[in-house]
Amino acid sequence: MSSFPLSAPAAGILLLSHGALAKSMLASTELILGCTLERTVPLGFSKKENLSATRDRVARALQKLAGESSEVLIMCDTCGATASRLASELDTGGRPNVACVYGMNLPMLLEAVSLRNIMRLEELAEHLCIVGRKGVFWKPAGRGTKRALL
Amino acid sequence: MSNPLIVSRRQTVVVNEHGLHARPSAAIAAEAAKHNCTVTISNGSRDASALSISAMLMLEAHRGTMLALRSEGTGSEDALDAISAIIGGGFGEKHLEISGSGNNCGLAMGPAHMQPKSRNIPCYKIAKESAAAEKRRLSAAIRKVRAEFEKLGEGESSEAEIMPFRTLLLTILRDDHITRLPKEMISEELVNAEWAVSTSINQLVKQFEKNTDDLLRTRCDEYMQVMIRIVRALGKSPRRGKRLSTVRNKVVLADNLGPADVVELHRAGYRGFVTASGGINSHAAILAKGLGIPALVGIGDDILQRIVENDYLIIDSDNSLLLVNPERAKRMQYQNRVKTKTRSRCLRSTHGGTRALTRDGERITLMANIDFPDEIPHALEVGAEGIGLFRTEYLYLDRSDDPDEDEQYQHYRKVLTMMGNLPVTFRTMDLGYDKVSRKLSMSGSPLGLRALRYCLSKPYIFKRQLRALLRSSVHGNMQIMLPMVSAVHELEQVLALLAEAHRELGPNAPEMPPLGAMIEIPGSVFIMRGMDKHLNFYSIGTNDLIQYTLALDRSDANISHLADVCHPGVLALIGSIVKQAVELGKPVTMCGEAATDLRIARLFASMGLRSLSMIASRIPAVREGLHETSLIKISKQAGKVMSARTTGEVCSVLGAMRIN
Repeated sequence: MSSFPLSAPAAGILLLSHGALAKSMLASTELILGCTLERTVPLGFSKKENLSATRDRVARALQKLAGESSEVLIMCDTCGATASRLASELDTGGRPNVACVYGMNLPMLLEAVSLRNIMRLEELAEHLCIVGRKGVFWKPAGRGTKRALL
Repeated sequence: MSNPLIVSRRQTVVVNEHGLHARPSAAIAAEAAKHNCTVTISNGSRDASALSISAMLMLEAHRGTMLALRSEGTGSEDALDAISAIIGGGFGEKHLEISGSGNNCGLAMGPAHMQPKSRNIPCYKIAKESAAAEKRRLSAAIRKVRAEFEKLGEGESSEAEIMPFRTLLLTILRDDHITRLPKEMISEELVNAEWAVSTSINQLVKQFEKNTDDLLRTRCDEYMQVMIRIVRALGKSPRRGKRLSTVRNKVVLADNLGPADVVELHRAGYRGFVTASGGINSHAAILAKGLGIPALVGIGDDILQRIVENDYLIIDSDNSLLLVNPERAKRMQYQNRVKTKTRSRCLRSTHGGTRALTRDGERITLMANIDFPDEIPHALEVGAEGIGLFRTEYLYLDRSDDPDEDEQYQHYRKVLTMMGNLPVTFRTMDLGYDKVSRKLSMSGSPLGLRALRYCLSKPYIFKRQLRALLRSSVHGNMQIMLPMVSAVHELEQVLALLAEAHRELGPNAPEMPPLGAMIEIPGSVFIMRGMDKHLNFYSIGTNDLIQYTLALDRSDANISHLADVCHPGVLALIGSIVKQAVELGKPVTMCGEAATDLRIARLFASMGLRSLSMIASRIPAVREGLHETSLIKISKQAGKVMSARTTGEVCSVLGAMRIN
């Protein structure tokens, strides 16, 4: 992992989700980090919206983020969702440079926020996929020393 | 570009309560991003890039984990300095738990007071003409410090603890390195007194440190402390008294403390202390223990930096922990621990017993029921304040003859002597029924010729016991108690026999010990007022009372399980006994199994019962239970218990009773 700071401003992050997930993820991340995040936009979609409305919202958010940096990372809660499909259909003409990551969890978002200052977009996207998976594991529980209330 | 040959390493311990969680990881990542070098953090075999929050989270570093930091490239030292400071300082989180070495002296809690640092020693040149004056200044300071040391331990109850340290410190003050060498340095090098004395002592300390002898090395501490005092005495520091008054009820934090400091702070009323350096064998920690002051030493400089004046501290010197600004739940936990300890400490009476004290400050005497003198040591161990029931009949059992007066006398004397001046209540022989002597022919019925009735039918044997009791009474604090009194005329007959026995002992017969009656027959409850003028105290024999009230033969296995103290009839009778005893102004003790039942003990204590006697092993539990009890609260609920109509109802009301 290269560790020199980028000369360009850090990538913007666009979060796309069903319902309130994106907003909540962002809120939780800000809670952990203890500050509000710049250049990060959460969008949540409901079934009620029609396609063109959805497309408009995504485009507008991209445009806003493009004004602040030359790269945008889109993080979608799952692949195959309408919003994520629409996002991948957009043509930004290379400005901004966009990468889309499908599947979102909190470790990834924390990582994205801290590493966007340091990594290039494609490298970051690749790394997030690894982090997303490595951050998920299981262990048996219930054998600690504190009594559970029954 | 970074130079890959530069590698720096560091080790830090995670001190904050929740370990290396997301926020601290983010803080480290933010710091690491500022540097050009590559930083890796490891927990055992797991590595994480300091730039990756996720990887750091996966380290699962809890509080107390030792993390290894490694950095490659230029600026590694700075990067590691910054990052280890973040980790070692608890990530700026306010709740910290820090390990050190505790002196096993309990808990101390309170706001922190930071002792001013003694690091900056002024150093300057003086004029040749000023040398003499400077030397005088040093002498004056040394005299001042000597006076301070001489005052240590004066009029202190713990004087013995402090004396050896005091002697040591005064000896150090006479050392050449303090008295002579600095003065030479002042003349020759024309430096100020502070610098002269500190340099001189530092040189000496360096020599000590080279030595492998532990004793000499701990001496270093003392020399440093003396030097610091002299420097202080030389300087224009705020008046000692004023400084110390800010220490009251606080927990003191310092780089290091010497024995003299420990004593002075003790006088100023501090609660405990914490130091950055020092080991558990440091004199300060040992002295503190002798004075009963909790202390924690060796927590490290990093942490000391993070604590500020008035942070709330809890020293747990038994578990070697310091808590900084603990959360409310934890604080309550510790406060409860202190409350229980303080209460039990305060209750040690000068006679060696430990009284039970309820929440509302009522004292309940707890005594033991015993059969043999061998049980006495254990009873005393658990803090019995006397023997509420000594069953004398066991001397008669398992033998073909019966004990003569002298044998009984020796037996009773032994018991009294073992109990010192604690009261012993001897119950006259309660034989017949379940305790049958082979020689003395007796009936086995609970309602037959037993106890007092038996005694009155065989006055010769009874008087033998009475004489033995009276003779032995001079050896201790005796009371005599009569079992199964059922009628006033019965009592009057006993009194007549007692008077005869007394006369038979001749002109030097000892005074009559106090006389009491066991109220264990339902009928006797109603003649208490009739008997009262002959009696000094009452005892409630709950076992027999239940038996007679509910017509249950205790020895019959078929029905003995039906005996229940919670029967409304039984409770009513006990309640009446307590009430009458209180009205008659006579002490009343509950003997018997019911005394060990906290529900019953609390209930009747709230009605005025102040004395319980039970099997010794139950005394600690009952004492604890009574500590938790507010009798006022119980008395508000007592009416409900006493008016319950069935045993079941009594039990459920008792079960639902709030005790404090």
